[in-house]
Amino acid sequence: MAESTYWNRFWRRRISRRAVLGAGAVGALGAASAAVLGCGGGNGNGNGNGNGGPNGIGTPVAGGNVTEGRLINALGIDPHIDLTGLDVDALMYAYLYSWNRFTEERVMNNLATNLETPDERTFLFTIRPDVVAWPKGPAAGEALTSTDCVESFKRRGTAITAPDKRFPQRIEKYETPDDTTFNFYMSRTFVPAAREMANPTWAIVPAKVLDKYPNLSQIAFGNGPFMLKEFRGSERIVLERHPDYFLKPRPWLDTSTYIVITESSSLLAAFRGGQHDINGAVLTKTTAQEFIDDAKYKVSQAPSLFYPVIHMKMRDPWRDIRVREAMDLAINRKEIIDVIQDGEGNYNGPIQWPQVKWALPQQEVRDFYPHDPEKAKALLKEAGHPQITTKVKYPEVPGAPIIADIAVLIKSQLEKVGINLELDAVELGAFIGNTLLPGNFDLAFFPNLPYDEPDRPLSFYHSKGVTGTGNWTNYTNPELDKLIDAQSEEFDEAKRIDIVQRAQRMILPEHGPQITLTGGIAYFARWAHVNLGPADNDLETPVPGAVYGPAGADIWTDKR
Amino acid sequence: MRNYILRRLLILIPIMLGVSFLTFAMFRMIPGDAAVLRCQLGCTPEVLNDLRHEMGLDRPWYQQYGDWLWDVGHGDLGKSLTESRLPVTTELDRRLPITGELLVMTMIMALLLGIPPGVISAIRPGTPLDWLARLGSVLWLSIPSFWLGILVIAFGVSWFNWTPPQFGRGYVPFMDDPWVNLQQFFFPSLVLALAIAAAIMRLTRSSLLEVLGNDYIRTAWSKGLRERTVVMRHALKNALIPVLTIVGLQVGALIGGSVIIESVFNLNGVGKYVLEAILRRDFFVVQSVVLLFAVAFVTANLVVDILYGWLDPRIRYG
Repeated sequence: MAESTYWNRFWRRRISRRAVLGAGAVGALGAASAAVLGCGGGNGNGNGNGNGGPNGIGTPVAGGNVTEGRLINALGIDPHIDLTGLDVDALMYAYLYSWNRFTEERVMNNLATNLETPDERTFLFTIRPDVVAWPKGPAAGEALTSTDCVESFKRRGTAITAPDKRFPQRIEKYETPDDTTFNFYMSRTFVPAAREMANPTWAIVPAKVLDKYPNLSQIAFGNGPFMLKEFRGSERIVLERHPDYFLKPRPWLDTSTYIVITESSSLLAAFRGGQHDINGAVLTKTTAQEFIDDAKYKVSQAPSLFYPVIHMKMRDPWRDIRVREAMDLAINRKEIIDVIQDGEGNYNGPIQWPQVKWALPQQEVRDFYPHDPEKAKALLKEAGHPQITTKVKYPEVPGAPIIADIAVLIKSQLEKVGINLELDAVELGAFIGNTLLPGNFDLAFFPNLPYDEPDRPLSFYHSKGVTGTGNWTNYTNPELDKLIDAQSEEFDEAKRIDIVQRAQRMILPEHGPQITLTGGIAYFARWAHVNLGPADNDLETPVPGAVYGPAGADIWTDKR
Repeated sequence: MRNYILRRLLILIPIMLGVSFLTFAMFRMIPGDAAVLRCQLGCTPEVLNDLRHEMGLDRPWYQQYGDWLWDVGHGDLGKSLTESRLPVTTELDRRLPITGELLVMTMIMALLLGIPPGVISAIRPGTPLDWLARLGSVLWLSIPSFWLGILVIAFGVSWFNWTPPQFGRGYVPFMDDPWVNLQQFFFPSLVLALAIAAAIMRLTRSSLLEVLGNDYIRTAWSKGLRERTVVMRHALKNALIPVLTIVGLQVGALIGGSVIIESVFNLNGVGKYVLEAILRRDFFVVQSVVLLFAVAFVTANLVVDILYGWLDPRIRYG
């Protein structure tokens, strides 16, 4: 790998004071959804909107409690296995480093102080000697070592239900020359690994804890800024300050509490009533407006990485590219932004627009997706399908009426050109199990998951699909497969960007098998007494650049 | 009487078997399973198979059902198939007091809000009080309880800056803090009780009107008895028999309503538990809770049958 590449520069950069101090407030904002979204944005020195006082870090005050509302139950808190409690895991465990999803850069503010990559398959970490486990449990007060890293990596890579194992399956060998050196070697290059390791599922758990507790679903003995005090994942989770956290005097809070309220209107009512300090639900601009207008609250915003998509089964009539193009032309993306996303948002290409580094330029995407119903009608006629009646399946997700709203809007747009959709709302479990995975659909509409790395979004167009066993749309394009494979092994960032963009430019004229639509802005509200530290940003233009750090360590509150 | 109760309890066994088998069969017909929902989109067929094997979902249906039944017979209701792997009995221990309190309070409120207005309405037909009671009953029967619940919360916040205490601190047992506990349950119970109270009120009114027209009531009047004595001692007891039947049957509606109201008011009871379990295809939880609900329903109606004899001594249990 060339010395001058982006990766080398960033991977070897020294820890900046700002990065160390930068709280992972962003990660703490907004229950599981926000944790996935990584809300925030801005870098703490924006212009504010005048509703939350001077915008800045302020002087942190130790003590107090901050309560956050959660919309979903935390079924388990085993960081390597469970997905519903990842935001809580992030507060309880150490990670090798953090990740800024906007700039897509590693932030060396956690367990590792340095990372060397002599070649693309070798990772040599130097780890801090002063990150210690909580003063309770099998490893009480002991410093994390390279052995803990190895055991955690192995467990994360081999558990049946652990998500996405492509990275760990390529790890060939581990080395622990001493307690503070952790090395591993990969059999094949896999660039997304850089992002993976900062994912909350890659927690470093003391080996002694793993030995004694094979199941960490309902208990925890970690080393992060907060310790588990009470866990009732469907009701209440209480964390207390880790007194020996390596960034002492952080964390500032004495306790951090989650209250689970699974009914979205009740969650919002409880927030308004002051029952919790951070509203865990993602708000639209309309619902956030009352909080923006009220000085008692602060509101943050960030581009949403959830992106609505339509999947087409590659059989008649969708096998015909003219039909697919007609569908693209019939969809009025601007109307979706205006009606559904309160006028805020952008067009998504194969990679969603907030991934600025990898996405195609917005103007290029907008130019590619004109709204032209007349041309759409002509194409359908030419293809011998002037009228199409088909069923579109979409998931019914409690608390997410926006899915049905978009489906209804698309139906009305498409019927103007002769594509008549029968909307078929399918319960989420049935949608995944019986519709999507077996490819049992003609058209399927759903909000795709938030990705902040280009590999996964592109895999929906790969012949092997996102599961690696076959594309559920039956789409195959060997030339595209080569590009998608190549980007996952290209460490030179400039070259990788070029490959990713070439792949997208190959996908666009195919008009499928996944049609992407638009992406909006998500809003997050909290009471004004909650300060997020350096990531405190109020309402700013959602320019990428938020500081990411050990989640929750820098949150503090004025309220006593 | 003892024989009657014993017979009814024995009948419980085939009912339970039937209910559990029907639940099992219907749950198997719903597309998707717990393994798929844990795996989500990136699941390979191999991982899915491993997961199904680990959960025991790859066994023949009769073996799954038989094993579950055997365990239930030995007091083991199984473990959740979700990440938590918590035993169902552990969760029920936590949640039964919540649902139990909700149901008891609701039934008390429904009786208090249903019977007195029904009686007043019947003994003062055509008066403004009668019209008011009838109007109220139509209103409460027409409004869905979940919507009313959301209104209570929304107006509570907007007008009084008040939300139920469980939104901030979770469930507080009565023995820990009676005042907070009552605050937690008052509105959910009230919301759930109104529709049931309306039905009880209407039935009490019509039933009492009918009884008040009987010869023995005319006799009581002619003896010069006071209105209170005629109504309370002679008429109401007989009029309450059909009301009691409805109360027993309403237990089913109450259990169904608790599923929604517990979600709206964030009470982590059994209703919310089973709703979430259905969405996650958590077989053991759904199966066990439905069984529990069936036992509660049958038992409530057994109690009603026994009460018939107390209300009307002419009723004999053969």
